[in-house]
Amino acid sequence: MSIEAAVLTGEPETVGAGRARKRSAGSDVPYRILIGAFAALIGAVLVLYFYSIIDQSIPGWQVAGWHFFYGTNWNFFNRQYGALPLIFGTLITTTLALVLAVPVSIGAAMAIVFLIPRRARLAVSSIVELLAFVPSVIFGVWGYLTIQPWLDRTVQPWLVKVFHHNWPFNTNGSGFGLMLGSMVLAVMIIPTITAITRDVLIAVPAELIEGGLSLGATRGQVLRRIALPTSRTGIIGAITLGAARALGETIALFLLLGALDPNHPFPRGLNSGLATLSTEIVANFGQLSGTKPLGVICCLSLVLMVIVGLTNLAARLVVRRSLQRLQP
Amino acid sequence: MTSAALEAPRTDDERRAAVQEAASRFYRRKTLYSKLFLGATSLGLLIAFIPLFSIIYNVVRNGISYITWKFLTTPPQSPSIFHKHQIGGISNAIEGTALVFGMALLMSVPISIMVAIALYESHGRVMGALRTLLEVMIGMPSILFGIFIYTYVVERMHFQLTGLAGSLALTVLMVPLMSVACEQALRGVPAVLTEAGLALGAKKAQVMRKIVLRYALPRMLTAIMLSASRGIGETAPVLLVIGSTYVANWNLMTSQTTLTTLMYNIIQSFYNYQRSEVWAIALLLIVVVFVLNLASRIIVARLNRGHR
Repeated sequence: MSIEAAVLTGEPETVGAGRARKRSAGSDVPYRILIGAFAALIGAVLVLYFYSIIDQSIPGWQVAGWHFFYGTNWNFFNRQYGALPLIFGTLITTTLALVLAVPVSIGAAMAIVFLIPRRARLAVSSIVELLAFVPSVIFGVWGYLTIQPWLDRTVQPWLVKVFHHNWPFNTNGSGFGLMLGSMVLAVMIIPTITAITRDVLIAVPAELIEGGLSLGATRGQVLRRIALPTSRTGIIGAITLGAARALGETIALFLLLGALDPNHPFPRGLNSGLATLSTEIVANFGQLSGTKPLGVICCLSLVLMVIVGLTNLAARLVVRRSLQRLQP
Repeated sequence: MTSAALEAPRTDDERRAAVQEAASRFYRRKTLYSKLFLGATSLGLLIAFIPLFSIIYNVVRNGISYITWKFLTTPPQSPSIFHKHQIGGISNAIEGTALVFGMALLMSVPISIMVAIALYESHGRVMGALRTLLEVMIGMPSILFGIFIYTYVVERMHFQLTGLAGSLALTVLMVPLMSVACEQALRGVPAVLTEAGLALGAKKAQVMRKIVLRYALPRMLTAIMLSASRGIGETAPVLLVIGSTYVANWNLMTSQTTLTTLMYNIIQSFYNYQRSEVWAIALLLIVVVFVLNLASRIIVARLNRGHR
């Protein structure tokens, strides 16, 4: 039986094909072992990553206990381990950053996809994405040396005056604090959200858009009534990915958030200082002595890991599903 | 107008005029909304541009005056009240970055390519799980990689705070990104080519080496460059495990200072002049990152033009 016949009948048990298959399988073994070994290596390292942080956090849980999750007295130096203010700080900075970044990013993505001439699209979106590659410490420096003086001298005194020392501008801050941190954080996640939203919007079928236009809808109506609803899940996924990046941001926030006030562990307004899980890890790393503080640091890391990991997983599922739905 | 519309139009002409006016009013309002909406989206794009330009402007304006040959090649000095401008240079950080990041690249590039090949070749459930794991790792806060290296390598294996630990942290951080990006590059190879190779009797390893890798090489290069430009700017994971030093000692087994950790250290300086020195380091970093980025984008644009 010829090979063509074997293919046509789908019968694999011909002499020649069998031999060829066996031989090729035999010589592919070293190759398979090699790549399998590397896959196993990286898999092992990643498993070790989780194991190591969980394992080292056990002494921390023994010290901190459940108090870690509901206690509000965080003072690493005095061994008070109530991390609720830190969890709150992580969530509130991210939320505020999203509030600032989401409208800008979605607008920018829509302008890139639907307004800008096709020829300029690549250049414009590359420039926006360039922002994603600026190292986070440079955002920190920019916020520290450029935005902070501006907030401190111009913006915040004016806001305090406008609000008559009422919430959320009740204190004369130093410029550092929640407002500065979430502003810079918003800038950091704009490129992430913009890039993914752009991909999702490009995937909206052209027939839908053209159908809308042919029915006499304006471009604005097409964008708002057709493009946005069609790509809603994808945009939610994009926002979630941006949130995941914001939740884990460390060095920029450490430079910008100011100090956690032990008397007011929860920020009283937009001018007050606070701390997040990740900034507290960096802040206290120099004070390690003995295993127990490292354990508490690992507890912080573990909580951060769980929050960010779940956010990420959810985002990836949503984005993948929406792209699949749009491109069958 | 409403009152006019309520009065039943008598003649055909009146009726036609009323309809026309209503239609044009509707159209004007419709286009106004449309224009407002489009204006809002362009405003979003404009706002997204501002920070980038502000950062570049400030970095270049404040940083360029510091950069001299002496600044790049001498070790730092501590300023004092009487010598506020005595800051020395950043040779220790340049050496540290070259060493630590170079070592990280040496480790992560081969590993990532092999992992990418593994992901490309297999379709099983185990590799699917590995891919998901890698994708989750890409999104993990970078500081956790530093914590991992600290807990496992420094604490458990009784390592010192060394440049090598920093390289390891960067490697663990870059491998997920690099391998997933490289796998994307491999997937871009047309199936016709690989199938032709297999049909001619080549083994999978041969097809990989002689067809897939060769074809995907430029795209893999861009993937590696982009991941590297992400890695070189990382501060937090390196900071935890690397220690710091004032001299360029070219020894991975001692403490090192990189550009990013030096920025972190001196931005909190008491002296204004030294504090502004971070702009110069930021300028160096941003130039490196943008050059890597632009080069990779140019390669991709060339490729796309070639295929069309």
